[in-house]
Amino acid sequence: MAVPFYGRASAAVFSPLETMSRSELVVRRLTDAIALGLLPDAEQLPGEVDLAGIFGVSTVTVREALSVLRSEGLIETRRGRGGGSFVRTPEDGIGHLARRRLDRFSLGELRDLGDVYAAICGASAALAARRSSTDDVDRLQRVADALEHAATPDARRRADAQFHIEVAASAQSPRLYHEEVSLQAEFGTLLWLAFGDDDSHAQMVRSCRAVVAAIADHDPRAAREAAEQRVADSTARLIDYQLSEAR
Amino acid sequence: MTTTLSPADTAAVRAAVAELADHAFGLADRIVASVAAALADRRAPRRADLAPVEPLVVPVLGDTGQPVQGAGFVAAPGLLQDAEWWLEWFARDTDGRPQRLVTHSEPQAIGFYDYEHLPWFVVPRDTGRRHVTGPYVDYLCTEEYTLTFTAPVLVDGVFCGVGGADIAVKSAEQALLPSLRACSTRVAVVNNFGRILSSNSGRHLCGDLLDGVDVEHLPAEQRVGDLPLAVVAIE
Repeated sequence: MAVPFYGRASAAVFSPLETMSRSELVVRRLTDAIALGLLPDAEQLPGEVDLAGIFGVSTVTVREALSVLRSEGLIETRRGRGGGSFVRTPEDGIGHLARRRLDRFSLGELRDLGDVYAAICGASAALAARRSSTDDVDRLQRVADALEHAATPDARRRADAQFHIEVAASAQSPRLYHEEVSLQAEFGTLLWLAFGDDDSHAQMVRSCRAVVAAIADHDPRAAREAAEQRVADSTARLIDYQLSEAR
Repeated sequence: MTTTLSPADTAAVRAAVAELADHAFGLADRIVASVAAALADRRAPRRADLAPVEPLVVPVLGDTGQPVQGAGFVAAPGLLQDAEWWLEWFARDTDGRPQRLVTHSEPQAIGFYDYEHLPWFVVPRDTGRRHVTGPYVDYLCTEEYTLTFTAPVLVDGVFCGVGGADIAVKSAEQALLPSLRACSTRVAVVNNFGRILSSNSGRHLCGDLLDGVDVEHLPAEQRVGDLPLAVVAIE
């Protein structure tokens, strides 16, 4: 089909809907869920027909995706009674999955992802500073406390995720909230490769307190700046990590 | 905020808010009554004892002509023998069909959220009164912009949880807009924090906070019964 030229703006309209095939998208979604720990080891996946219904794709597409996941050792399929596809977390843990994903990004792409995440977090924090009521601020303080007291990398990761979700919810914007959640799945998993130790944790707690303080002061500009800085620092740390790990 | 309110306008908006709230609390109250009855003679209640909730809720959710999109019972932590935390909750799926809500009831699981600090649970527990929470982004359940109407379940004076119903802010707006549009001045419906639920002004939109609104001390003509909602004038 010939695409008529309508000028520059139409480029966005007539570009491919997604650059990945549908089965690649299913693979990525399930791999992210395993990497995030949302699908724990030994969890049984829904059947092929159900998965096709959930993702809105054909069963052929689901079968393709499952066979990729099987070849990567992320699921195991058993036949017969009580059979089905079961999650197999890699032996070296879910960090390994995130590492593999990280290796596919160039440093420039990581910076770009960080820029988008900073924009979303900054906008959420600025709106939260305008729209938070006293009980929203109380909740944010409590999540900040939980982050400070979290002792294991896993608990720290969950508390940090919860903090981001609370800020986005305090912005009173369902769309920002959804962007936050999907970026957390895409980028949050990567960021946590470089976080979780005591030094980075202390930094995360400090920056989290700065965001909460600005929201409590109803200072949108300071809240935006603190949230953007928080993501920029995290992104820089991830890029440093990638540089130090690169062979 | 010194513009005056026309009594007739205010009364019409209040009536629309009250009708919406009565509809949601009608279902919430039926859930509260059935759960209270089910728990009354139970020393060690289990999830199965909450079975009467589903047949109350499902027909309502199935009727897409009415605005409630989710409803059920949320147990006080430790109430049930077989689940420390539990939501006996039903909501419409993307196709509009009623489905049981599946959440992580295990505090260690990713995706578990502590409802013991959320206002739709806390306020009825601490005050013994019904409450309207929102507008808020409901990240626990529907991930939508929501109003939640909850009432406490008390058995022999002991708090056991809340019965409740959700209405999407979008549906509430549809229900309130005709009366708001008919007003001769700019008015807003606000909650106890001064947060706007709906208004007839593009400068004061849903989710924004109005400074200096103290719902508790507004005259009865502006308040919606004993609910944390009121009609106020805006510039």
